[in-house]
Amino acid sequence: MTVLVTGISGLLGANLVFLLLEKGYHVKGVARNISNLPFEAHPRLLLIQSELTADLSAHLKETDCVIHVAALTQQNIIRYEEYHHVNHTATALLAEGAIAAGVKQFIYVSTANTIGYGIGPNGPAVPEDQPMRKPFTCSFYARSKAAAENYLYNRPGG
Amino acid sequence: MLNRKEKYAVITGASQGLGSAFARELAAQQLNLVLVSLPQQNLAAFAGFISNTYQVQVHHYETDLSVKENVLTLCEWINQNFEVQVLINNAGLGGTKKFTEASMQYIDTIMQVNVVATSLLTHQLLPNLLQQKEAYILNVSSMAAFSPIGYKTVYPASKTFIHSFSRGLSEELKNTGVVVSVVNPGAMATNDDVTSRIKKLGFVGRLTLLKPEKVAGRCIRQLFKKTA
Repeated sequence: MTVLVTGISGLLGANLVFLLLEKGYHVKGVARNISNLPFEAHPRLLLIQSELTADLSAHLKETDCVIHVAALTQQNIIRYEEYHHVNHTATALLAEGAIAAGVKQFIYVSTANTIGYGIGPNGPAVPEDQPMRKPFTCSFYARSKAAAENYLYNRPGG
Repeated sequence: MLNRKEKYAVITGASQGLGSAFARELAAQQLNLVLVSLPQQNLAAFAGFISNTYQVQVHHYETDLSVKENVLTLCEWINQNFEVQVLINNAGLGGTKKFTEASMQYIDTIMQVNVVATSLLTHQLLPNLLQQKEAYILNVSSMAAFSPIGYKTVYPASKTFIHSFSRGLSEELKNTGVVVSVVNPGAMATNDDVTSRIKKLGFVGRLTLLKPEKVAGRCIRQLFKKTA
């Protein structure tokens, strides 16, 4: 089973790669710059240097699952378009590419910011159908992640 | 899949930059699209994305317009399957090189795409456009069309061709249902190559940069008003 992971230079993506390799999966890791990553050469790990919006169709072929971690996560960019481009458009393009290539499963790593406060009275498990709340409704980051969720849910077969 | 003819807008160079902004703008106005770009530009995914976002029909076609036969094959495919209401000749390329150091291929590609493909696509699709009650051609020239530029030489000249060609055709078609328009935008950060070139510009140069979305929006508004 082959899993393609985006955002492998980040904390979550990198640890995901370690875990997947440990569990015996074949891993294709995508990053904008693969020269400075924490991984040692591994027979089941293929590193792919690519922009997120680029044509990844060759790599999406013979891939069973995509885990899309890459995102623009800082909160301090003043133009919504930049969040929209990375967090919404690039996610949609990756999903469309994955579907066209016959990938069976697409896991989108969103954020708890899109479902209230992400923590409930009984611990971290909160209902996922809660609406966004302030201050996240004012966060370009959270709004762009919610936009990507909506795209994936609402596309035919989503 | 193409069992019925519907009204479509054809956009060349649609995978990125101004072309992709045109695609969004026209899809937002509920026009069906035929998107054309070079291969390996993620066009299939972009077509799916636009189709799902705006609920319109989107077909895509990957080809290299610098080869004349490709242009003719594309035109044949379009004429067989679609009623074309809008044609946007947006695909184009340029660069900065000493003329003595430029390769023959560099010069030829600029002229084939900017001049030959634009003319032939328009010529081959015009009968299709003339069959519609109203139809629109938008050719993308450049601010560079207004000024010869050393070290660019062929590019501004090719854009002057597009400007002149469009104005001439507009005159010729003025009593038909086909409106011909031409736009001469300033510099935009449209793709990685252009963006890296723009980054080398000074502060004042960067100040004049335009956003593809804004240019596309304004173009389409003016085009459909038939005033531009």
